[in-house]
Amino acid sequence: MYAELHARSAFSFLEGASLPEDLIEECARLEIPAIALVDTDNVSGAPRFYKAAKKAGIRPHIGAEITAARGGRHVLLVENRTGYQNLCRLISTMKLRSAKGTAAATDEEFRHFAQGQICIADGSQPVETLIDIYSPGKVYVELQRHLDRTGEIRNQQVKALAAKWNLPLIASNGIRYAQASQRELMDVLTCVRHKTTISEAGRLLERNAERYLKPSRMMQRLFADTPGAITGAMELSDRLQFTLADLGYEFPRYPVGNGETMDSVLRNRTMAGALGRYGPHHEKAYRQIERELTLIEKLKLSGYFLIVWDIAEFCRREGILVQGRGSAANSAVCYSLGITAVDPIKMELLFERFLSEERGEWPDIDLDLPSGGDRERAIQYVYQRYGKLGAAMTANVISYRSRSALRDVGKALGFDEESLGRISKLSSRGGWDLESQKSEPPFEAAGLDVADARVTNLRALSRQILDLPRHLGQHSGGMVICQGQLDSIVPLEPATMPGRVIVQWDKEDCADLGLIKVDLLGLGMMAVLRDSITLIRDHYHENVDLGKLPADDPAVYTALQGADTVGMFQVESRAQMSSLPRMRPKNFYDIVVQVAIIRPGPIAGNLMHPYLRRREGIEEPVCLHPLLEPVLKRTLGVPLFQEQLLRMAMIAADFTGGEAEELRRAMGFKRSEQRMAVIETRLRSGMASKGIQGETQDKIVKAITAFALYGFPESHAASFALIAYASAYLKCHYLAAFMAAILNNQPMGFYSALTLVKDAQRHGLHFLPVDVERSQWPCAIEERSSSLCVRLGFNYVKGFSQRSAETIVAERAQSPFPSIDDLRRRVPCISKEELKTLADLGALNRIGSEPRHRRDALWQSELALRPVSELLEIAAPAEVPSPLQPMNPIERLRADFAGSGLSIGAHPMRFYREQLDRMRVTTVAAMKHRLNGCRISVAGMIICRQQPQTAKGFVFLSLEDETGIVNIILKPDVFARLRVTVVNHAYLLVDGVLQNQRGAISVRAHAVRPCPVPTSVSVSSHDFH
Amino acid sequence: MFACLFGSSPNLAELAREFSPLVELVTAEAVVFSIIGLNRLIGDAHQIASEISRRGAEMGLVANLAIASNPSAAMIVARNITGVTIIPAGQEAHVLAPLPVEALSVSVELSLTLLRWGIHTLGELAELPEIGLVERLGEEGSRLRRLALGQGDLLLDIRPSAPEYIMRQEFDDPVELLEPLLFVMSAQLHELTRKLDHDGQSTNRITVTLTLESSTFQRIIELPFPMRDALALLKQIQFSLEANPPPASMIAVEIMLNPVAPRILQSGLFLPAAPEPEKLHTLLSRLKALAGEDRVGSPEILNTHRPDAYRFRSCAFEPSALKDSARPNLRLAIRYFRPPLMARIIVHEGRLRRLLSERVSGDIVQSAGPWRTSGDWWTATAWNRDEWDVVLEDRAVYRVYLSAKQWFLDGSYD
Repeated sequence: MYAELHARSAFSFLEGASLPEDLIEECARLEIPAIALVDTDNVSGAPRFYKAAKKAGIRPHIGAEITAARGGRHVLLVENRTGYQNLCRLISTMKLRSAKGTAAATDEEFRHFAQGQICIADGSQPVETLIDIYSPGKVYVELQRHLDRTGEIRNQQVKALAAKWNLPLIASNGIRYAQASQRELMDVLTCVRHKTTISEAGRLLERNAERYLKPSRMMQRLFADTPGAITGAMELSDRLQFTLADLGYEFPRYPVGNGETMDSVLRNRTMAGALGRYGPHHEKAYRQIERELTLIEKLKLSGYFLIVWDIAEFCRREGILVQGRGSAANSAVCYSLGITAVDPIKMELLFERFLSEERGEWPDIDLDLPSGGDRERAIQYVYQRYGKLGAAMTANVISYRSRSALRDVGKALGFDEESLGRISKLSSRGGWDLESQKSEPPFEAAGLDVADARVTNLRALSRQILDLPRHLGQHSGGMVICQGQLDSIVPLEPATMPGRVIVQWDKEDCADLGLIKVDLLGLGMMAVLRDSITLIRDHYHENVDLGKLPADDPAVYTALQGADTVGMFQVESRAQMSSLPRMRPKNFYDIVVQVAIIRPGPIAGNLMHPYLRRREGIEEPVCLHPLLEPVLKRTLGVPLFQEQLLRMAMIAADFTGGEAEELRRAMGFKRSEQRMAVIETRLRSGMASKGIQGETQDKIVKAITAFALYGFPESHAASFALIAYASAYLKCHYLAAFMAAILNNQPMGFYSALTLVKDAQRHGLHFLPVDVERSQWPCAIEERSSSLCVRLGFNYVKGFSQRSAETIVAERAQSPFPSIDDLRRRVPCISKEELKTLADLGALNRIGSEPRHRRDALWQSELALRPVSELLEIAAPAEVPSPLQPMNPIERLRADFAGSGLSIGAHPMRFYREQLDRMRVTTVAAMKHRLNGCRISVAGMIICRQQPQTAKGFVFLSLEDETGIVNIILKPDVFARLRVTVVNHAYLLVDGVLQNQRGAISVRAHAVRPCPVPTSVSVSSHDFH
Repeated sequence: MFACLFGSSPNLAELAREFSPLVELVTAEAVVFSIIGLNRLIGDAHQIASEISRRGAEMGLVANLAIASNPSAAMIVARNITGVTIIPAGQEAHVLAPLPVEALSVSVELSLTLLRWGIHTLGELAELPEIGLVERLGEEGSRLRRLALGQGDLLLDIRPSAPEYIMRQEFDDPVELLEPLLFVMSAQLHELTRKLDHDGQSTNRITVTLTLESSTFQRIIELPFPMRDALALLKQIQFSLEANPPPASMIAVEIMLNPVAPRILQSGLFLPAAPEPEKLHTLLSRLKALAGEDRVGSPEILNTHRPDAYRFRSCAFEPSALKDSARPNLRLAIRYFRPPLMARIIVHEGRLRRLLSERVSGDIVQSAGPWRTSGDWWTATAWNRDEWDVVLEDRAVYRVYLSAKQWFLDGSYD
């Protein structure tokens, strides 16, 4: 037998061509009993490697090739847990003190962290040095044979060294890929790494294709002259006892006072919170809390809950909005501790979806925070509380996806940037996906010859490179916390963002290895809510408490029922808007359903339409079985939520909560035939024992099986629905504050600032332009003739620096600017272009005693910008009226778009309305009064283009004119015919048939033409996301 | 008065020179020339324009023509108004007014400023106050305004045309052999190099155009460095024509030399003696004529794992410093058989036993291999081969390889 002890995976980032799972699969096929993963300067692939090996029954050894400061690399294998911890610390030490890509360890560092490690001498480092660092018994000499003369010379030299120093020999194949056929991909990766092309890479490429996993027989034949090297590898493998099961991870303990335990502290805090939430007599709630606390204590999770509570408490102390999302909202303990805002008792949510004894996994609590500075403060609090080496963000493994695959492989194969850009552009606009074997990249449309061998290679290698890791990024919010030093559990490295440290494993890997994590997620809408509350306090003089909003506000439901939801969280998208008039939400639970139902899952699982039909009374709300009626009644007999699936199994087949969760996971995306078969048998026997037989039993099994793939957690939907309701409430009642806040937090959500402004204007909100005498850096609220208006801030002036804005505000607080020249002199940091843009936008019109027009301001600005000597600097020239003509309305519109990306004046379509009227083009608002099925023409700006994977090739556009937004539907054949027009023109004129389904208005397009509006007045649309 | 011709035809300057010695070649597409005094020879501006147009048509030229009181106005109009335009004196501003600002070729920054001001035409620009413009745009503002008003004060920049080094000789009877042709060319080259010498020039390119009975035949000879030695140039032409003889009898020959600055070279005192560059180049040209273009030069190993991959690159003529002759890496040298010899290898029980080939045969007493290389998988010339080093009974060491199921004898080791 033979053990392969030197294999790199694709986690060596462009130095290996196979995923760890592929290496394991090949080992299993070739009956190789053990393999060591030795990636360069990282152990990022180790969790996946370990998981796959455990499943395949192969011994997975961990190691790494560590770059040495004196040149070359040390090949290290981990012997025991100390060795693993030392390896992690060695990598962390060298990475944390170096710039990205330059990390290397010194001899002293190697020596300091040598304990528990085996060093493999491959001839690139002096053997004497290695023996000195690692001690004689820890150094093995490696022979590799790749049928290469130079390699053989090296082998002879290292054999002599081994004999001289009496070191054991091992054989390996220096694996770079699992199978010989992957050598081509390895060559491409080499080109990507060296930023060269395949025809210029020369000797950087592989000499032959020998670095693949070879069966024991072949290795024995290769090393027939040194059989000891093969047995040496097996002996060394036996010596390496460490696996990732022996990680030694411990979640931090929450500090408690004398005489207290973490359990008692949690119990006290929960009960104190419950008293506020439920009052003293809510028996059902206290029973549930008791049940949850007992389980939490049993699973020793009290510390975890206390730590999350501690973060939430910090946020509350600091005035940072915080709300738990995800399955944690199923927990009454979390609700009582103030971690979540949804009452699981009132909502009848299922605790087992969050935590169960059987699952053997850590619970998952995600906290939503306002994006930006507040979230960063919370993250820094965690670092500060647990130390730099006690907490870190999880990594995000950036893998090759369709476009990056084509781009990198294309560049390596020598395709020019222009062709690759064309492919990329075409692929980004209209439903092509390399990952789907059925669809073909748009090579022909990009002007490439599909019969050309280069294109064949591009296609094949791009597919092969898919899913291979490209580099490590930072996860958006996942933090891992550890008792003691996290750097001995997993290597740490600096993130690109200053002050951030990441672990080398991604979120899933951390979860798989039992590392507990807290997700601190930034949510733009939370920041909008926070800013709105402040603005409401300052300008409406009211204090809004999001926890105490009126539950059934009629204005909110009217807006939702009319799909008047631009800017509202989760219910503003094109798809949401087209279903809201059919759904007609009437209470909070309807919003929960609405948030959950417009998702790819429920749509693909064909859950949405049956539910909507039953809601509209078109279909009878029949339940699968009378026993299930209590579970499915709320959703009219259609299972929509994961919690319902769990309850169905619990009621129909007497599953425990944990078993039901196991069922959901088994039926989920990572399905295992074997696991499913076992659980299905158990499900059927359970139902049979309750008298559910035959067709009904089949129906329930089918429903559960299909639904498990697509269901959405009810708790998560409820948490989001709370934010959706709050955003709707603020928009309906405090429009000025909500708009100022949402404009200050762009980009976020589904729509551009222009669409948000136009929508608010249709609701009667008045906007004021940027003005150097009035504007702040952010958009602000001003009172004008007893109504509140939004004043655009300098943050909406393109290319304007915050420093210039703040200097303007500070200077004008001293005294107003009498002239543009005075402004320029008192705000010396303002640049030429900034001053011209302000003039262009009309922001200088109110400077001085007389109002001026924009061109006059431009004329005076140009004079103010002239360089003059110091002597003349103080003598401000008298302003002479400009000879320039004022801008006409269209010129003003153009200047607004060029300078700020939006306009608070008339909508661009307004200027063409007369012309469009003559062409019998209707407005969006007028469509409400037209009959279903009539032929219609409509024109406007395209603010969104979508081709959902669930829509079978249909393309949807959101078209906006001065009166509103309408949904345009293009059938696949129509889109294929009109593709170039649809994707390339910002304004379209659409002819089609009006569809009015209970107030949900759309146009089924037959013809699409470019609309005669200058493209310079358009904003980027939300395309094919 | 001044006229301007604007178009893409190549002989605009020639046409202008037919009417005036004061011609400025502004760009490859624009020529401005003075027509002062032509009124006494031809007539008024309309008659002059008519005459220029007539002559231009005869020459097959297509261009815009403008006549104005100053070169700037003539140039702006010719560039932007199609056909013939005659601007009466004092009417310049009126004619220029509707033209777009871009007609003045202003900088991008200035053009954006004018666009922001809403100034789109020369008429709008002309109406701006001069002082206001100077205050904001400096002297450039004033200049543009004057141009917009048709008040340009541009002076013609008149330069003599560059000398040409062309000689053409027509033969009384068709010439079939190279020898008489070279005799004629020798005289031409002596004359041309004398002219080059007089002008302080050398040449780096010879263009020989032979007019054949029914076609033309051209050879362009690029020289590695500037030369003006007639005999050396003649040799270059001779080798080129010998390697690529004209396909039919010749009735005329034209030689054109491209003038460039001569080479200035100071050789180092301690550099080894080397042949005269001209002589070396002549020798190499002769060798190339004998052996082929791609088979003469310095061998260069290519950056690839492909065995025996090299190419010839042109010899470097510049003397270089002495190289360190120490050889750090003593290796076994191999002498390649080019092309490799087909061979048969008898293999028994997985071992190479006997080598049979046209030149070398014998029992193999020892072998090492296979040494495997493969590559260029992305091209049609992908290779994949296994090599062995074999020792025959006479202790001679050879390299053999197997590629596409065929054995070859690749070379012998020293």
